Amino acid sequence: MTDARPSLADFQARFAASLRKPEDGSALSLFSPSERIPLARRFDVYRNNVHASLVDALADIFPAVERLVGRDFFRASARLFLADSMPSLGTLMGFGDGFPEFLDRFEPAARLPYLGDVARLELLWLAAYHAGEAPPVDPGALQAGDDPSGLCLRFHPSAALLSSSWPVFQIWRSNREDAEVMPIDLDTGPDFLMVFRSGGEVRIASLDLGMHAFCEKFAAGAALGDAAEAAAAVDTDFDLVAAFRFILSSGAFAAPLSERGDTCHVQHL
Amino acid sequence: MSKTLSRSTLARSSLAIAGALTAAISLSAAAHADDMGKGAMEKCYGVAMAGHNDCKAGAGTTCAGTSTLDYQGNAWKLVPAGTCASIETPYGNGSLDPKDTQLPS
Amino acid sequence: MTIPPSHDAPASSAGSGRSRLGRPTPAACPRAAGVGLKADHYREILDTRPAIGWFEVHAENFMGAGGAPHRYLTAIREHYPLSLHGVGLSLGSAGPLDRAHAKRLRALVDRYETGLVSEHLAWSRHDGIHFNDLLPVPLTEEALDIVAEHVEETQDILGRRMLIENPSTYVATRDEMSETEFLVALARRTGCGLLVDVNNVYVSSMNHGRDAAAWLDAITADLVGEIHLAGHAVEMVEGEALRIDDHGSRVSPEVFELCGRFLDRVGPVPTLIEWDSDVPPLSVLLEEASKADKLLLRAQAQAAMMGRAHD
Repeated sequence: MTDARPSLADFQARFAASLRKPEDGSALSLFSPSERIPLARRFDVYRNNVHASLVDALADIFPAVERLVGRDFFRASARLFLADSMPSLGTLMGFGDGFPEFLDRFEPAARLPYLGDVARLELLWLAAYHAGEAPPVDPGALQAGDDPSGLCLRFHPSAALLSSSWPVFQIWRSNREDAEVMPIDLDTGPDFLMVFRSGGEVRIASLDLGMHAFCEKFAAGAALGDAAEAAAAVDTDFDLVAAFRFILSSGAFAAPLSERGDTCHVQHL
Repeated sequence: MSKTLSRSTLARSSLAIAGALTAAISLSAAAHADDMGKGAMEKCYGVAMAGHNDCKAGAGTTCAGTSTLDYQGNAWKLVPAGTCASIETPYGNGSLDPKDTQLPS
Repeated sequence: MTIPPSHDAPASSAGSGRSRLGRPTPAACPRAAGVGLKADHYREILDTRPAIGWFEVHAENFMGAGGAPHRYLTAIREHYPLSLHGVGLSLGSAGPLDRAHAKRLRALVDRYETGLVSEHLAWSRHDGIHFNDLLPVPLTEEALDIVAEHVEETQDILGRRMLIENPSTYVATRDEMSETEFLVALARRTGCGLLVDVNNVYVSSMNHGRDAAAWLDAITADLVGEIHLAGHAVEMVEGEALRIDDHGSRVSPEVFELCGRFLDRVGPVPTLIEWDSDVPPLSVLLEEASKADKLLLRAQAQAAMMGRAHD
């Protein structure tokens, strides 16, 4: 090529386009000829760096998914995912957010219907791991006032809920922790989970139906009275004392923003 | 809050909440932090902080290249071949139909 | 023997601007060997407190809001100076600087009072996509203008001098100047310092049939704020060696040799052992660091003998 030297913007547009289209050799004219090693093979080093590093990043985020499907299947799936889901931030924060939905739709994985939910749990684990700090709720904050039903409880910044039709916690736990994965009966779902951090450690609580309804209400910004009512509606044996012990001891709840029920519109972020 | 509830129901529920809260606070104060073997915490699972999983968690940033050549253009038999075989699905386990999928190479 | 952290050595290029008062800040990285901090080693470092001058972290790995990464780093910072090494700012992008990312860097510099802060002569972002690799910048006047503007803007946001690292390259861009001409001009224009990655110098020089020693000879002592050392891989491509900067092995003897000669000329500077893939036990990193420390001691002795003052 004898064309004029491209502008930096043009150079990068052509370089970037060729990075993502391996059959596209148009970027090669951007470089000086190479005597020994063909330019295409040199450019492949960048293609490989980009794709291998991002597939590695996905493997770091989704180790249980990788173990479930095996390395080859995982890496092949991850490369297909990248076609539409390259990261947008230099921190890689948020990268992989669409992977659970990709797996839900991914036909070769159709016979592993729980796979997307395992990926969701891994994303929540990661979010909890990196979430901000906040003081946990203390008994004093809950005791204030005569009528606690208006109290607005707030999740810790690390806390989030996940419900799944599958025994996703067992699947996740065994694939992350066990040297040999244990047999799991898929009929032992559904799972209602809360992922949160206590101190520096990520924890996962398996909630019963009532506790799940209770926590879901808080996640939606409801007050204590509403949450207790929702829990009792799905579970007549809902144990309010145990629920409060969980709130006070788990670390999953942060100190309330307000002690006044009438300002309880705060959505958990 | 449901508008169909009578004032007395509301009052009862407030009382119930206040009572439960007081009970929980006194129980929590009496119990050791690790004495959480009851109720919702029963199944709570803690991941050890020193566990291998938290080490790399989501980092992935690098200033190094990779010498692992991972950029193949051939078609793969996309068959899950990991521990999923130990999970009993309604379709049976592990015996999955191979799917030929052409990857963008 | 590892050179212990030293607070009485002048640290003009190593430390922050505050060191010009004649007293180095407690955060300054000493002119000794440091190692790249890996999560696998957090515990052991806190438990055993190895005698190492300083640690360097990838800034992006600490851009989360909280949790274990910050807890560990805070604990480690209590015992060691830190250097902050950015890998995702994309100073070489033709588009505008990612100011939000630069502000995240600033927040980390402030939070951990890091002795050094550095980034790369490279780009990784185009059209809203982050490619997660250090891609080559054509060495043209236009690119120099753009990179210089981005470095100035970043230094304004950081409120301090930064160091710019030379990359490993695998293709030769159609350049108007050499890499050292580009870097020296960038430093003169913006006041930034240079992070000389000797392994990158070697990898690029070998990949393009150039002279690594000549590259290093073109850099004057006043510009050098830090040195990086790492291992690289050799891939055979159609019977020819292509070197890949994978930070996955010990520093090669050739790179140590080049580094020693460079240090003898420019004097001791903070020198980092990087190891980012197949990370070995901490003891291996410390072994590599002690090799670098020997070179640093030799350079220091040589400088003293010649009665030469640095900077």
